[in-house]
Amino acid sequence: MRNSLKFALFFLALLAFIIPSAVEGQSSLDSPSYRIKFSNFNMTSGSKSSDGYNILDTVGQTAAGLFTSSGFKVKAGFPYITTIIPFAFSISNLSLDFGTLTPQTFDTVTNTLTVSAGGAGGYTVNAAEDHPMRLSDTAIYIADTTCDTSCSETAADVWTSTTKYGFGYNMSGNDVPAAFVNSTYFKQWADLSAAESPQTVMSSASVGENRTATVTYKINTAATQAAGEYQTQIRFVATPGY
Amino acid sequence: MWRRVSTAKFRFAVIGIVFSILYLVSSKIAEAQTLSLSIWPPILEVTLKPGKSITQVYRVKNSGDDTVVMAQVVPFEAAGELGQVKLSSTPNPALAYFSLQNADLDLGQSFTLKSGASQELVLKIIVPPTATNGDHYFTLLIDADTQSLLTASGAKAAGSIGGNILLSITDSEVLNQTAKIEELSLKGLKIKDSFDTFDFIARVKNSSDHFLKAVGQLTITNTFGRKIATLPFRADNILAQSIRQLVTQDSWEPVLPLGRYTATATVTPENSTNTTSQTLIFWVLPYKALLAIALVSLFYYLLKTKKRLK
Repeated sequence: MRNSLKFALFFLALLAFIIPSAVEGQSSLDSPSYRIKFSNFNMTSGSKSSDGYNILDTVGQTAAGLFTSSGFKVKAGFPYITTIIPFAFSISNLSLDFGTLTPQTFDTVTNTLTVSAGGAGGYTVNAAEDHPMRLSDTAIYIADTTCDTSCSETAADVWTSTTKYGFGYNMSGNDVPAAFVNSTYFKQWADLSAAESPQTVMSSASVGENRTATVTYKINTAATQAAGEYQTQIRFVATPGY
Repeated sequence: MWRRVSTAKFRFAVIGIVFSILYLVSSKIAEAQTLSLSIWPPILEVTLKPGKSITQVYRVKNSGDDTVVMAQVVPFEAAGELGQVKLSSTPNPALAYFSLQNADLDLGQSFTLKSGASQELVLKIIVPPTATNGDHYFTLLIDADTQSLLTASGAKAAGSIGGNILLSITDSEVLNQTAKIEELSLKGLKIKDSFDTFDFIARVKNSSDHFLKAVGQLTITNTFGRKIATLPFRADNILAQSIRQLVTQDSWEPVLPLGRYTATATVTPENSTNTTSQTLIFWVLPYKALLAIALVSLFYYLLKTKKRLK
């Protein structure tokens, strides 16, 4: 019985450690009747000096508005759009693992991009790969796809033939390029190692919250492709409109 | 006997709990890593005299997993006419005007941003007394590098988020910007159908050397010269010597419009009296409905004629 009691005490102690971690990180102040965002708590960082006139009582705020004085004028945020939404960007899954690649078989993985541009006049998400899929520490690559006939980082095309090899992507959802007619259309990633310009994968000129698009990453290899783990990095850059 | 069974049951339950906890903990470890960043303010419009400086507090929040971030200032140029930006790698001497005033951080320096944490970045812009008048456009870019598990062939995703900075340097108190409406038109055919949607295109050029905020509206009058709609433009920024398509805050949705209409776009740069305007005359007819009636009538006439001939 004493042993059972020890077991019980041990697991109560264990639970006491585990349960608080579930409520960590709740930093927003919410109730059914109010919400505080971008409050000026903890406004202590930074230099408070000025060049001949007092600006920090007005400029160093985390609030939208117009602040003027002799020699400068500052507008922060979009005061003409009543909003408390900051510009936000999310990627649902950063590890796009194809597993073991099987020659002449399509492998696909997906993740989701989400953009909230509530206070901004639209937004753009551009993307590019560091280099084509590369076998670790070698100069052996899986080339970017050219689809069934011809596609590039700027033009999409149908890619359904398993005898066409390479790495590419499709976009579906909100604000994606019209070139992705349906789920069979793919493009190459813009290749930064070849000095290609990042390409737009989502964009809108309108205010929008939780605009969501799915990226499908697709790969197909030839039987002659050297065995091993091929990897690259895809960089997404989200910027609000001006 | 009862005690033995009870103890055995208890131990069995304990083992079950242990495995459940291990399962929960291990599944959490194997969860996909996510990136979720927000930045405020999304835009900063600054007009500064040479020799002056300002500071602005930026707030970056990490709602995803723990990550390492780095702030940098990157020049941008307009991408198209809808207010979108294209980051530029062209060196800009005005980059030297920017610094962070945080005691422990500077631009280009990486720092850890824990899940759920926020970081305030105090950006200082110092314009030297020798700076020449003109505009510079930048993005304060926050690059995130999240540790992710990639154990086989695949790709790692990385993300960055930015806030735009429009910097005008001028030694004049009054900028007196000027604008010109390059185009006022309707999407689609020139003669609209009564059941069509009306999407106006207003392309406005900023012909001055400093960005401006376009304030104005589109007014629509009917055949009798009576004003029937006023649609304010969203007060968007137009970069120096560039064109932007303005969008109206509301759309025009008339009930069965008919006849000759006049749309007049009027734009005045904010804090200026340099008003520019352009007029568009367009016709609205229910021609799709008329065509359908004509076809039905023709079909009916042919049917009747055929019967009569029989």
